Amino acid sequence: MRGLRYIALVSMLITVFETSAQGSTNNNNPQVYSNRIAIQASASVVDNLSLLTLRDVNLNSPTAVDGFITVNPVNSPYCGLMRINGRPGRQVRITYLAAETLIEEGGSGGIVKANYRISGLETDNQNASVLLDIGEASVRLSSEGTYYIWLGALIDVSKAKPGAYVSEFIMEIEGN
Amino acid sequence: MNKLFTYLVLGAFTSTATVQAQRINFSTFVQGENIVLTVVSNPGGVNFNGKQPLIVVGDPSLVQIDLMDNAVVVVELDAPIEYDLTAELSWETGLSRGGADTGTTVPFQLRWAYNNTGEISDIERRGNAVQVPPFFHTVTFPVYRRQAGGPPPPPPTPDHAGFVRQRGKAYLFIYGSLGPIPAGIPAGNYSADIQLNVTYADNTF
Repeated sequence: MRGLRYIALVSMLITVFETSAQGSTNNNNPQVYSNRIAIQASASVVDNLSLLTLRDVNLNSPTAVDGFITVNPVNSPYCGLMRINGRPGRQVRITYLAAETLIEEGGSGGIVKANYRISGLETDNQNASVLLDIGEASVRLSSEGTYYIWLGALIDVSKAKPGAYVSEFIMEIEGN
Repeated sequence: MNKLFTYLVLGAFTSTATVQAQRINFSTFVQGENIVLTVVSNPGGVNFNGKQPLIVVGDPSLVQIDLMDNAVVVVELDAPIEYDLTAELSWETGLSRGGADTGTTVPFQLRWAYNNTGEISDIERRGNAVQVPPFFHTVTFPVYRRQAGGPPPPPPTPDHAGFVRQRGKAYLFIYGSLGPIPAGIPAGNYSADIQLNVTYADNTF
């Protein structure tokens, strides 16, 4: 019977030993190799700037006075009209060909000298428009994103001969 | 005898009540081997101007870089061939002006694909690439695709003297779409960072 008690005691001791041997959660997390890089996504966005011709300049209707046909951009009804559309408040640079010489197409030797002048305003009000610098101008679009340009000309027809004179007025707009 | 039985039962109860467990997490541990990431195509990043040179403010159409396009960023992953890799890609949902937080962003959706079939040419690799479904940020795949239908492969060979671990290459393709470009936003360079993090796959749950 005493032997049995010893066995019981030993089993109790084992229990105690087990209790003292606390199991530990082994979060063995060795250094996991990794590598990282950064890549960029990019896009260069440009403003939409468009030039719309609303009306061509009419040089046939005005009569020549002292060998000159004058179409004043600020008040002549024969002006050409263009509109620039873009982001409101945007600064736009306008470059245009200020003067050119046209030669009669049939070979008659007639010469017409053309000087172009433009005026502009943020709204469609020709009489209030201001003359822009010759050749190059910097303007700002209105809060609606528009700018109107009137094209006039001073045409020297004193050396002209009957025939056809063809030209295209070229204007470049560039957003800053 | 009866008493002995009682003691034993008592002892057994006491011992069950104090049973403690060991829990061990086995993580992948690759001795002395690392993952090398190299951008082999378009190191400048995903540039949408490479697909459409002129991107205009207010344009409602999408600028789409597809998997087969030249503008795709290709990242080469060089790692031990027996392992699985987890690639995690994080990105912002919009490109912001100058990369700064100005409030206005251009919406942008990123797509990516991986190839682990070991073709020689870039075109073939793209053709066999697996496209990650939209909006997924993490994908796990073996460095080299295993044969379908066979038993799982043996565990990786442990390191030992004179052992040279065989390496393989997998590829990631990063592309996506931009737009529609909001109207009225200022012109300029819009950008966002894409973070790619590649680790050995940890299969413990």
